[in-house]
Amino acid sequence: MSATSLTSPRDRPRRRSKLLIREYIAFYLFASPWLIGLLVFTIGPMVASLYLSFTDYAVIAPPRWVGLENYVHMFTDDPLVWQALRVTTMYSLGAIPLTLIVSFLVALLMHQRVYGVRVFRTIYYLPSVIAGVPVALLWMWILNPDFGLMNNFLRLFGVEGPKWLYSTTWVIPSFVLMSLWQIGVPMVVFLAGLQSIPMHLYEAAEIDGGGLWAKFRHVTLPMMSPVILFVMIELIIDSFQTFTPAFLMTNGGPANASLFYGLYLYNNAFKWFKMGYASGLAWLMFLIILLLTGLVFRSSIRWVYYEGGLRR
Amino acid sequence: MAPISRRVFLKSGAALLGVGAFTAACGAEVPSTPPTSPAAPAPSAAPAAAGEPVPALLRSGSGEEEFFNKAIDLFEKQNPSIKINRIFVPGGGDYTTKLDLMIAAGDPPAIYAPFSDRGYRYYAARGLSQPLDDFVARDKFDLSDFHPDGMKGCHWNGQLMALPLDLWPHMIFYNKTIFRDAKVPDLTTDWKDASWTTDQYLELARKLTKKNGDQVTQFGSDAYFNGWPSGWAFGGDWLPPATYETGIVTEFVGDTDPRVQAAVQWAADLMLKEKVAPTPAQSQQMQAGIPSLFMSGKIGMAITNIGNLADFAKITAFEWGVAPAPNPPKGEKRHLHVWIDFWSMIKGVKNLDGSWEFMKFMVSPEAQRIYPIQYGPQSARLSLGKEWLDVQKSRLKLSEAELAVMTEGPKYEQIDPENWTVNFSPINSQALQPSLDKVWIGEATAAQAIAEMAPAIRKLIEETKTVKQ
Repeated sequence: MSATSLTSPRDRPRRRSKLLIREYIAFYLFASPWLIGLLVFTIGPMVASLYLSFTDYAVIAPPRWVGLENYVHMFTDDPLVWQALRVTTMYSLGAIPLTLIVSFLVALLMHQRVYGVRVFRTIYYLPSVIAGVPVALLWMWILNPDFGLMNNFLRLFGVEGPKWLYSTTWVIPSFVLMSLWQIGVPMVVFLAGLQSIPMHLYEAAEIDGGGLWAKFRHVTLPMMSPVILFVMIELIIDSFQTFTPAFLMTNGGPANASLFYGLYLYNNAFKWFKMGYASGLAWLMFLIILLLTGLVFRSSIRWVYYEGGLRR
Repeated sequence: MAPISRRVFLKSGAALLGVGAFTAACGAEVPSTPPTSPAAPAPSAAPAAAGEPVPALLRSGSGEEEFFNKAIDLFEKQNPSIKINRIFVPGGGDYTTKLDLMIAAGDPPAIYAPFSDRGYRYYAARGLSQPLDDFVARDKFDLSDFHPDGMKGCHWNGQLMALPLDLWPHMIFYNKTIFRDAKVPDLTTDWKDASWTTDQYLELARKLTKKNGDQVTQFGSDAYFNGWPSGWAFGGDWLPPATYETGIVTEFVGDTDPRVQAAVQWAADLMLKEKVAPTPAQSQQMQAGIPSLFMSGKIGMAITNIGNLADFAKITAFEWGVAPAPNPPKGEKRHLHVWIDFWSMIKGVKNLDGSWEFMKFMVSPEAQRIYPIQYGPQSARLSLGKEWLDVQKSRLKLSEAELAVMTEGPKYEQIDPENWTVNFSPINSQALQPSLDKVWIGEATAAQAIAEMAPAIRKLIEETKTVKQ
């Protein structure tokens, strides 16, 4: 005779399912503050802005349904959209590789075992701590074509510098140059990545006769590739959302030569109160960034090495 | 009672927090639908009654707060049953943003004056302004003392929608110390002096400019407007005269009026060819925190408005004077803009009678003596011209003739299209100003810039000339 078990087979699935339900309830209860915040402050406004992008909404009057009119206007009738996309793309093509390369090189330097390296790490990180407005004002002075530090420095070598922010040709390179001010954050991320590379890999490379370049190419770069991917995606998102420097320093000028997409969106929303159109612009920007990050992720199969991960 | 387990305690706490957050989010007051064209409420037969506070949206940031507060304190003392809710916002885009948001939230300001490139007519054209005719008739409010152009601007579609607040005429302010150093006599004070022309202005600017090698250390002139007013300097206009009657821009004539192109090129040449006026980059360097470039003491002549008087009164480093703006060449009629601000009311205010009483007070001689007179601009009331002069005499070292330049100015000036029309502002910011930028930095001539801007402006006119309500 078998002893009666405390839980019969029929009871076990019911108890497991009750336990599971309790677990789920506990999970959602703990997660509820964040979930509610997500719904109310992120998903909700996104849905609202999607709806508004199909309306003519001037804030002082209720939204009026216009269907695809805003999107048609955007793609066929608004040259400033293309100007803004052109400006933002040119900036991104300059700022992203430059920031990536310079911050990586600086991180390599900060990874060296030299006396006082922590001081240098702090110095290189400090500019990132300064908020956007003083940085913008500072660079306006540095880049002043007549009295600024930059052109005064170039004059020491007999070079007459460009008009920087007062030139339609040089205004975007000015912003690209400014982007180097913010290498502190990617530098710290790269530094953390470099410090996590196992030393035995470098030792193995040395044993195999690898020099400095071989170690960099065959150990450092592959091991850092996931970090490079992360930083690259962050830079893509940030560069396409550039707003503060353009708003403060040039307001899109001269002659719309620095009309960043974020600034154009802001002008439509808060200067001209075309909220419906601005919502459409916001969704276009979202889709562009989504596409670009998707492409980068797709390409990462070829060049990102995940230690222990399977390649598809 | 059995002790509560940690797991149960944490679950309950999270549940309470989640419910609380959800309740707070859902319980937030949903803004009411903004008024589109509600029927304008009629004034009550009874005089102003106590009730809801009257919200007044007021500009701040250039020293006006002190004067507005003084005037409102006086009103509240005289009308203890009416409380004014003072909302101060910097002028320009911030002001109109706040105004639009208050309207959208269903709590519009009782009175407002945009002090910026979007006037009350933007709202009147959308059916949002409160007509004032019935109030004026009920209280037999006398409008005859107001500046005629001001009163013209107060009407929209035959209805009185605003009351004039102040006048900001433009004229030349010049550094007498620099003039004396260069042994140049003081400028004329006669608006009718035909010999004072833009050619003579340029000649003087050349004499007053000083250089140290290649660097200009003293400019004979400030930039002669670097926006749309530059096109007016030779008597031309970007817009046809009918625009100022209708209040809507329906046509662009800047590319067919040769005076406009000549004026813009002249203003650019002052900076780039003659180098007697600072470029935008040089202005940024020289201005460095002071309210106006003229106050740096390195500018011989500047064209600006009397709103700067409160700041200029503090100048001690040099002596300065006032002169009429120069006449255009070839005997053309001077074309210079005078800025007129208006107090207006949005429909849907909660305390309508209280709002009207407050608006009446703010345009009364009593309040006008505080703001705008003590602040700087002229009152829109003709009878207060002498009082404005007396205030300026007490704080400015100007002769009678120079003071008369300021009071005579509005007679020779025309209405500013920015706050006079419904749609000039977006046309200016989206097409006109960006093209003019290229002229000021030397990347295009005036002819090229105007040719480039014309199609874009005409397109914007088509998009904005019909106002949807």
